[in-house]
Amino acid sequence: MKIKFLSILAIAATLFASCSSDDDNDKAPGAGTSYVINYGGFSGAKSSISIYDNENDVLTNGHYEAVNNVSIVSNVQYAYNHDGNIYMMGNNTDQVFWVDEVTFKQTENGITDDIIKPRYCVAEGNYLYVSCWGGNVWDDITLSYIAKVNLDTKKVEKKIALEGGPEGLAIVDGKLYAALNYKKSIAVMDLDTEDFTYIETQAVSSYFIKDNKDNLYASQISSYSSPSTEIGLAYINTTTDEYKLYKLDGVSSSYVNIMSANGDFSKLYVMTSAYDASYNLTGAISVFDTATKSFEAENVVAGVSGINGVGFYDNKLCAFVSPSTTANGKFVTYSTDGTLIKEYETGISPLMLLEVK
Amino acid sequence: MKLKFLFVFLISLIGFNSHGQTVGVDTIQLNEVVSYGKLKKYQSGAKIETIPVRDFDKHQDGSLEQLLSRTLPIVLKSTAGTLSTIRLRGTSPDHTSVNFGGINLNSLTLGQSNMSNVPMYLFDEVGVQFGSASTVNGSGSIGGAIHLGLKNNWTKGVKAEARASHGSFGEELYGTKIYIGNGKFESVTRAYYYKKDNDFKFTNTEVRDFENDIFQLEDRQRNANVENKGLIQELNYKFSEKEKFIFNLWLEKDWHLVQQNMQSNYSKPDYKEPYEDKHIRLWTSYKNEKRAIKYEISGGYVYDNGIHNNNTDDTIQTQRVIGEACIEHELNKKISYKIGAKVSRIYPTVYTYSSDLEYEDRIDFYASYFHKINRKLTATINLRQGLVTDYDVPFTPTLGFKYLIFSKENHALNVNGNIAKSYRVPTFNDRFWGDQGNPDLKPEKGINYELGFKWNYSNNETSGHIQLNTFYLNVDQWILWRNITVWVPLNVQEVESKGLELMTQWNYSLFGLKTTSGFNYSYTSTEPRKSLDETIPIGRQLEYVPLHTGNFYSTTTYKNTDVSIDCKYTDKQYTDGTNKNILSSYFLLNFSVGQQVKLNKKNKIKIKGMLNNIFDADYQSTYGFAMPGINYRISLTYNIN
Repeated sequence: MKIKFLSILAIAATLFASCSSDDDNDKAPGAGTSYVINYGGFSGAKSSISIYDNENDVLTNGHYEAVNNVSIVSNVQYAYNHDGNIYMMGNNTDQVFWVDEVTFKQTENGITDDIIKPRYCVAEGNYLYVSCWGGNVWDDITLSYIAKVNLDTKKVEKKIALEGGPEGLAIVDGKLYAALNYKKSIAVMDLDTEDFTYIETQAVSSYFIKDNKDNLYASQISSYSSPSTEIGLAYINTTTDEYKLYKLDGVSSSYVNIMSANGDFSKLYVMTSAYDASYNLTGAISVFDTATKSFEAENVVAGVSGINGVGFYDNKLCAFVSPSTTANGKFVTYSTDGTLIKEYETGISPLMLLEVK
Repeated sequence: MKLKFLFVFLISLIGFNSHGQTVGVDTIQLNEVVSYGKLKKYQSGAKIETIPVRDFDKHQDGSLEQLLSRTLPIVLKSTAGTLSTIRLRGTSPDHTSVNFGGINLNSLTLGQSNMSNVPMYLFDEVGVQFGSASTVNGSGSIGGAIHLGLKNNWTKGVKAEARASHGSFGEELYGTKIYIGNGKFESVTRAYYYKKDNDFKFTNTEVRDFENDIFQLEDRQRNANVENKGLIQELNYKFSEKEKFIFNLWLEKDWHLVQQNMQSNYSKPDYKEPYEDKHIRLWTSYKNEKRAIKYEISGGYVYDNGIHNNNTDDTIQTQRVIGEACIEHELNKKISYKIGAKVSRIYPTVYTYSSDLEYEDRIDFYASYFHKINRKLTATINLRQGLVTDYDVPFTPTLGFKYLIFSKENHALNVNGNIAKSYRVPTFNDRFWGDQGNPDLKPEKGINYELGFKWNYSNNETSGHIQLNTFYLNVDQWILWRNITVWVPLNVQEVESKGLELMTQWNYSLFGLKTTSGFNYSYTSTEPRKSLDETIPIGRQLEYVPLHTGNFYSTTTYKNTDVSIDCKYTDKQYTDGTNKNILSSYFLLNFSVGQQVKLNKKNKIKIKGMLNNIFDADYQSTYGFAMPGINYRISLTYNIN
């Protein structure tokens, strides 16, 4: 009798524990949750996702794998939150795949048809526009295109040819702006007609940030194939498409999140390189005042070897550190005056912070 | 079914009896290679192993990668026959030189050699020096050196060989060797053609079909084809036993599709990434040993060209002109010395290098001293100082000894040891690649301590040896490319490698059958001790260096038939700086059988069969890349004279 009672008690306890566990799962993250996207190694292990628990100030690695029980098979170049999903631009395997923004579960297969070397994306209505290099764009700049993905059918509805290696994208008032990484211009596509016009630039571009008046800042960089001394931040008035360059030496040409704005968009943080006191080249974060349209004389953060992206979250400036693609990196937070707050270990090659809005 | 048939076929060979005359299974009988003798003489404490002829012959259809991984306690990181790099004693691939005559085959741009592209069919012998060998081989021999050997036969008349082999996954090799000579002049032509479709089946664990809940499936490797061809032409002249001229020309063209990892193989089935290497390697030498002061004058030319993705616009090419002269003086039977100089002029033509970089000169001065102090003790000293245009190279001395502890009627015990400094000049890419190359990089420096014991035993029926070597190797200023804000090469870390290697081989009679068995084991603990990069795990085993490896082999000979088995164990391996992505340990078992038939006085046929990975082990040597399961190879060799 006693054994029977104990058995029932044990079963009940197990069920209770299971329910508790389920309850924990139900508290899955959603709005306000932040994820660190780790690019991974190109020839070794692929991307991983770290989740940041703001309440307990803890970063937990391997989140995608923990939720889906399998690892990611691509290097995620960029992640984008839209309409309940987080879309990820996967390379090698080339695919656009997505997870639920709340549960982080992947239930559908990624899109692989007509997706070759996807770089960045932006959505408008029911379409996701994906910049694709289309192959070895450094050998042939005509390979690249914009993939227009129908988010209902989850298919590439159209490949819109765009030579010059489109990287960062932004949509303003019916126009898709594409930063061209292998051509000194910014492409502007009318979303209705899908015709392009071009804004001539003094250097190649990599990414955009849209300000609170829907104008754009574009990074202007010097690259091996398109060297330039006229680099810095370009301001594009999206009403007139006028271009103005604010020069800054050493703007990063990395394919990571090299720019981030603070909460009220008064400041832009730009990843750069600079020489330290020992004349060693290291990473730094430069500050651009959007009111005065000028860079502050001193870098807010300097001497970060292996800097691999910047972010801004919870009134903190963030940097990602990744000296290699074969070891775990770091997510580092700073106060806005550049004081180091905390370092967190991430997966391999962290490159961006994604906050679910 | 096909494999079963082949297995039966191979087994049936054991019972095969020719009506013709039979001889023991062996290659053409060749003379001693002088170069190894010299290597050993002036490095008395070094561990230099020559792969036995029988083992070498077994792997003539394959590459250096297959030979080394099957016969010695050496680790290679490989894909399925397209790319293989060596990790000798825990060092990196550019820490082991691969030498053909006085030419170091390692790419001057990348610093390393692809062991899958070194065909064994073209050579007669391979020797491996474990541990630092920079004093003899110059830059890059921190972990050791490999020597590809050609033997001078001084053929009288004509000898010829034709070989064809066929294996799993579309593997084919066709080769020929033609020896023509009059005892003084000799022409030896060796040529081969090798191809492999590499379309093996494997379990792909990188499938992500969320809609059908499929996360692994049986897949087939695609687009990992290999097609290599090469020729070595020797023209040798023997003025007398003590005066010789040799001329070796090696032409090689290697093409392969870069094997894709499992996920790309599945998601991009039509993707092809071709890579082509072209090489011209010429080495010629005149040696005169008629007087007390012997001398040798050598010269060479090397052309290396790599083409990735059929892109011929982005040239990656280097040319080298090499000259070397040395004298050797035997003061008496106990003391001798050697001094020499080697001069190279290198012309790099690489699309990212500055046009100002027209050429680089390198000069190495070296001296070796041999002293047989008494009946039991010999000692050697080697010194080398390199000079490189606008670059400082460290002085590298080596001290070595060999001591006979005892020698009885049936057995003897030797102890040997050395202390060797070594270095590596950074590659051209490290120093001159676009804006990222750093001409101010320091050379990598190594110091190697070696202590070994070798016990030899021999009686009328049994002979063999047990050899135990321990080593400590410290490599400082180890260069890695790091992302500081752009990717640049830096002197990042100091790595310490220590371990022991046990090698034993025995020749004995088993139920009246001649048998040779051997066992090799290596324990290699390789850990970064200091690093500029704080993400590198200090004190943890280095990536792609298994702590334990071992192999066993045994060959039994009955009349004209050989039956062999060999197996290899490779411990788990880290693949990156995390403690997560670890390659599992694996065990491979292989079987082979060979039969030789002498048709008449001048003609003989040799047939060999191999079954590899008999347990069909599912393993990886490079993270994420598939390797073939059970496979076979059959070869037929026809010898004339």
